[in-house]
Amino acid sequence: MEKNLSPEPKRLPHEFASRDALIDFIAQLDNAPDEQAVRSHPAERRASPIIGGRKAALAALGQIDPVAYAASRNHLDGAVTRLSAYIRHGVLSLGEVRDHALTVVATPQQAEKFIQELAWRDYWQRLYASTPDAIWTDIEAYKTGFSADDYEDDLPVDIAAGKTGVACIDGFIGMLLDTGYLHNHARLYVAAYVVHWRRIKWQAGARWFLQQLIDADPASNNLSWQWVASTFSNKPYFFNLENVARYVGPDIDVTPAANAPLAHSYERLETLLFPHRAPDGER
Amino acid sequence: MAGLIWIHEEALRSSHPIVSSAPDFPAVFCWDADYMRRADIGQKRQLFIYECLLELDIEIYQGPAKDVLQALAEQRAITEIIVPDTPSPILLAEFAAVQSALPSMIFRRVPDHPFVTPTAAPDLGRFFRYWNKVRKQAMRHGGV
Repeated sequence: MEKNLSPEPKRLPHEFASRDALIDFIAQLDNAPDEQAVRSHPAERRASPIIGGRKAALAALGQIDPVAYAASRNHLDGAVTRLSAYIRHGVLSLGEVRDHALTVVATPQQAEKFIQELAWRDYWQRLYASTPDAIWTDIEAYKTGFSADDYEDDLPVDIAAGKTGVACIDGFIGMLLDTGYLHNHARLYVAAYVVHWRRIKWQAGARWFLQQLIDADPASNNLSWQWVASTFSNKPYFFNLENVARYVGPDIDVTPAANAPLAHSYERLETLLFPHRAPDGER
Repeated sequence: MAGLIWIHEEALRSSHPIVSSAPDFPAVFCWDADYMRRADIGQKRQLFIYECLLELDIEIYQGPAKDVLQALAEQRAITEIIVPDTPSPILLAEFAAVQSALPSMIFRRVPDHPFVTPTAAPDLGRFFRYWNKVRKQAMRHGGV
């Protein structure tokens, strides 16, 4: 029996006059109503400074310094590689990044910390393949003294807009909205603030990050949120203002008056954030 | 035999093993705004993905993969579609939708080059249990 042929699908172009023209084209293809809410952040740009494509990826790969990475990667101005978006989208394979790293060091041990971070990505992907449902459900119970029901389901508007009133957190969120990228340490700070200071379910924050980050991978992103929340770790991750001040550069306001909820000792924060949690000795 | 390489957003390079596994098959990408929303792919990331596509020898079509691939299969008498493998349930659901629309199509998933190839399945309970098992391989046996 003859069937009617399907309509010819519309072919999309390869040529654009400029990056702005491509941005306009994508916005018109997207017509996403839910992005409008986030647009209220005045600093938000429409594009990430991280350019897609293999050429840009290889240029970034050519810049990596595994020795400096190991020494400074926890600092916001440290020698991080910004390869994550390329790896997440298969523009670079983990193996080729590893092989290149081994060629630019004097001894393999100098690249070990960097390669271990690549292995985290491989680990998350294996976990994802073996238990895909773990991505959106609590792997374990919260170890915060609260149950999942004690956490709010939805991300508050002030967080999505970067207007929480906590200066360093708003600074980090501004970077995220501006660039589609955030240093890993800042991701942990924001995640801990959302889950532990505001008592929002990690899923709400994880979905928001997925939508905003150009490198977000459901496995790495969500399981890292679960690690912060303590549903995939033995205790909650939290921090204080003194720690933030140690790792961020001059662009972030770390004055105590502008960051009051974070300006405490770890002991005091433990009591404030987790009043029902059984003490486990050291943090 | 006519075939297609169906590229998705997790395999945006021409050195992916899928390309060498079928060098005569043209590559296509299906740009589906509804899928992007379901997969939480915002506009900045959409731009990044499109920029990656611009450097590839690939045909970009607008619409759900199921509809695009069905139309191309009919027009070109395609008998085989190969696609980069993925752990993503959202992408796997797309694969299932295509297979359901094209039940007689040969459909093959091609994995990327592995980072490590442990002889036994590693314990994934915590990262360091996995790392201790794969460390030598991950380091290419250098200095360990």
